[in-house]
Amino acid sequence: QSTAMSTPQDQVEDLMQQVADENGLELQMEMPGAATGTLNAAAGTATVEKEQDELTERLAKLRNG
Amino acid sequence: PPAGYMPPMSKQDSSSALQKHKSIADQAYKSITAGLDSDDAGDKARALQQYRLGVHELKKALAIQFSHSVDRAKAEVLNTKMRGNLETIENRIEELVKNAETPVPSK
Repeated sequence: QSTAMSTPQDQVEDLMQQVADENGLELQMEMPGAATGTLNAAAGTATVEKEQDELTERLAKLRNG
Repeated sequence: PPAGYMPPMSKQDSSSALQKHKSIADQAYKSITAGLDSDDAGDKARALQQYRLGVHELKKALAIQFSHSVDRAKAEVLNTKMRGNLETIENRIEELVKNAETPVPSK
């Protein structure tokens, strides 16, 4: 069992926010290449919401095409 | 972290339902994305399968009950998006089924 798997989501998010704040980063910004694959373990709220937006866009294109 | 710092633990119980909610939404995203890829590639039978799996997962995520009103409010943002997509995908499934049943009008 890795540390990442057993660390509560809230603590991970708090830590990420803390690191982002210290470095003046915008946490909402998606890290390129980190889109899929590792999501199931710790899918962020912003990420899963963005996924649904992406589906909406692709589905809309499908209807027009 | 500073000495004596205690991370807030109160959200632990309530967040497990939210975590499950997000995890299933993520699964649905993957299934539907795969379906869209198949659909684009012209593999309609495979697209149908993947869409149906995605619909099943969307419904599963939408059915999750939250005992905390804060969680319910958070989940509602995602649920609204998922409901919209669910409707569109169900229409697409219907379309694909109809096309499969009548490949060429035969009269």
